[in-house]
Amino acid sequence: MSEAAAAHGHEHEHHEGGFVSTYLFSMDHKMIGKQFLLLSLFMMIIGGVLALMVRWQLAYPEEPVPGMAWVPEPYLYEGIIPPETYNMLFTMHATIMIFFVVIPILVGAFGNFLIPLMIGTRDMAFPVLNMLSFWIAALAGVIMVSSFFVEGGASAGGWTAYAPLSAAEVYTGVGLGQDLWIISLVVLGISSMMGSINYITTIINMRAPGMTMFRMPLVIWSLFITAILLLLALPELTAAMAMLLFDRRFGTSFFLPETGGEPILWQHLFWFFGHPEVYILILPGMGVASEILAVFSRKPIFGYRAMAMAMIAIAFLGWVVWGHHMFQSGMNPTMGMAFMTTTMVIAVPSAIKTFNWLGTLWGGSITFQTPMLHALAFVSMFVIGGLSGIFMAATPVDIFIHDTYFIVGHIHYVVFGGSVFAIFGAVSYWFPKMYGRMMNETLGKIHFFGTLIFFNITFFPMHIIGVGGHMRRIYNPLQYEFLEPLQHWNEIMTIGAIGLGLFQIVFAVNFFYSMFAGEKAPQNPWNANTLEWEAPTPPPHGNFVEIPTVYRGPYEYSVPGEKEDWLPQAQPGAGVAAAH
Amino acid sequence: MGNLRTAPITLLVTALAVALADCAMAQGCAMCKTAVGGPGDPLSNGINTSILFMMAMPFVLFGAVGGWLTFVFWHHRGKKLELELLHTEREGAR
Amino acid sequence: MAGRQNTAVAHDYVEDDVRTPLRVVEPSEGGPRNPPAAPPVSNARIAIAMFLVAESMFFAGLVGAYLVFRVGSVAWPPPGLPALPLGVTWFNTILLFASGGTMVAALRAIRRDDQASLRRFLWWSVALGGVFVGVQGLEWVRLVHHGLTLSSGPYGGTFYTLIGTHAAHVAGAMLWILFVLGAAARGRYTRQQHDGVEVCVVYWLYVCALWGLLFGLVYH
Repeated sequence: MSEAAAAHGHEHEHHEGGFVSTYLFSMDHKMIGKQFLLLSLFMMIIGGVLALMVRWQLAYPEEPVPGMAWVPEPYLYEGIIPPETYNMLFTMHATIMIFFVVIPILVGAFGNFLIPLMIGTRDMAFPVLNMLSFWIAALAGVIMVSSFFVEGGASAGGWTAYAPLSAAEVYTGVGLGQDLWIISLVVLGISSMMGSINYITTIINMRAPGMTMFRMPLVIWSLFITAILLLLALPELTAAMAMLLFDRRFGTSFFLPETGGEPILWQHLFWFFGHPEVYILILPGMGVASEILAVFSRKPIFGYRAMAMAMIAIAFLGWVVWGHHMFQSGMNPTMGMAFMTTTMVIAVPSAIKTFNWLGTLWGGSITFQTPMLHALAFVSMFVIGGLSGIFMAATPVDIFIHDTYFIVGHIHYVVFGGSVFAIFGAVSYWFPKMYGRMMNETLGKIHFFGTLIFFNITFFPMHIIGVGGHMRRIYNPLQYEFLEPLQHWNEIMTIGAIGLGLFQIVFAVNFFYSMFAGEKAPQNPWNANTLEWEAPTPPPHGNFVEIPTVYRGPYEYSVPGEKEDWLPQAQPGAGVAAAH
Repeated sequence: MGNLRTAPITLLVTALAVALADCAMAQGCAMCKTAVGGPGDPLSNGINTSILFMMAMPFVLFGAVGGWLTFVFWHHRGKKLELELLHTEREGAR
Repeated sequence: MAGRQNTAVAHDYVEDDVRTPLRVVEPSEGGPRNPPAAPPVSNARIAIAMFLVAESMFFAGLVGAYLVFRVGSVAWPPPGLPALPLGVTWFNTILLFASGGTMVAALRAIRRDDQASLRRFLWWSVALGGVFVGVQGLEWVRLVHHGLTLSSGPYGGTFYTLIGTHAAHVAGAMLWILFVLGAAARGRYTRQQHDGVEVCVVYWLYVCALWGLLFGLVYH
């Protein structure tokens, strides 16, 4: 069944399209993007609740979690978290947040929604494949959540699933749950591969006339590069997962030392995927930040070409640094130095991007609407996360801080401080285009400031306690005498986490209320240049009345000599910068 | 600003930068030398070989497909420009 | 993965207060004059290339694990395990490569609009592929009988995983050929438009080439 035939069918059926074909099995990239967004926001709630339970246990070990007395044994004992469940909590928190929140929102939701609109085409290259990629991802989500309800519970070996802990049921007590975890990620990998093929083909082949590669908005560049990284990295993870499943269920011994396997092989295979994975998590966020910063400073992005090249460099270098996750594997110090060097080198393109963002802001006419606030938070929080990363890159330092809360702090500054703020920024920026209505600005600001403040309260002290020796993934800090002086930080961080969670309610209210009753949005509320704003709000099937022709790059803001402070890509005429 | 003409040089420099940063590839294997056993332990050679192979794969694949696409697109662009040139010449001659 | 360029046509978007009838504005009505010409590489070709990249990375992971064990072992194969059936597998390899040849012949056939030959060569490819998988299966049964199982340490594990995954890919590709055969029988492919055949042939050739590499690596 070709998509051309399907489109042909649509043309001849003068029907309204029932609920099922419009909202459930739509092949319209915009609807699929929204499906990804809604599914992921739901998963975010689950991931967030898991995190709050982890924080509760750390601050008030072995005290019953409020409101959780109803959870049956052996998961909780009248609300008290046992060690096995604790392992499950941090494992699933990370797995869900990484695989079922950040990637599906940035790549699945915004990739789908934005790519055809911003390159000026009617839909993705393969709409049927697109629809399938969502439903397969949804299936993966169902499998992952179902793992909580099987005997033995969900995976408890850490999201990194180190063997042999994850390779034999005897170590964690988790049986089917770990298998379901593996299968879920394999299924998700299939969905992701389909999406990558779609995105790459669409971006290469279906750009509007005049849209050269270097006139593409940076967010599209970031999604393009991310799609390539996903295409290369996820299949390798699938191979590793298959081997792990075989060790668990089919009697092989890839990772089990008793029968000739090699535990370090798992680390090697996992981190080969794991490092490109973190660049997959951050690159789209960088793209989003570039878009928003330019629009709300009314200035071109500083160094557009360097920005694109830096993202390419990050993607390239991401393949040669994975050993830095294994500094403590007992490696030869010379080798440690090699990976240390490459890890420090990879900070350079990120730094280039940071300075270019600052250059974009410098001298701009900055307005502080909600999307801009989130983009600014992205830049500053990501810088903090990057700086802690430099400490970790230095092998002699990492020997001490590996597997402490310093790492956890770093992770959350780059993934939450980076990617999640980028998500909030992207949602508030493109919400008008997606739903035809504006989000409430006051609620947006309340949500932003609450999130920013409580985010820092929750995650900054992690650097402090990490350097103080507080290990990660431990069940009860009070069991360790040397951690006692640090315990008050755990309480502070848990209060911060609760505040952080509560402020997300503001976002949820804003999101759903505005979707149905928000102020009607004009076609281009932000006076932005990029092509998606040429389409009606919200765009119908087919996106554009006529395919726009592109005359210039995407960041022609405040062009000297022009009447307005913006100059859309699709507006005809030479313009001052037409030679770009 | 650079355009398609500087792209090959940019690519070459980038590739070199990566390759040079990778000059410790041989030592890279030593990474597990100590973890796994003393010097000369074959398993460390195994992991070494595996690292080299896996590290090369993304670049080989990306290079092959990217190279193919770049070549085809440049060839096509050349043909298109030729056609356009013909077209305008014809118009001018009218 | 159909090969035709995406030509989705706009129609009514179903939403309460946003009913925007859309239609494509033809050049004759003042619409955009130079509609985009066909791109130099079709969507289908890019898509299959990307799919093969992904498949290659998948096998790279498996081969990466294999290399750790093989290069990292003092004796490979480890003593006490049965030798691999080199002779039979050479025969099998020739069969599989022949099926690659028949697939190329199938593609050539549709390029000169020879529908009958297209179908004939596709059937030959399925048959040869089927024999390949069948003989491999029989050899496996023999190997298990002689004591080489998934649990025979890393040697057994890597052997069956690598070769087995490849066999699964051959089986999947055979199903794909059957699907293409069905479409061909319905007259779907022409000399101008046969992206479906091309993509299937490319994938089959990839599976054959991959076998060449795996055979060389694992059996020698």
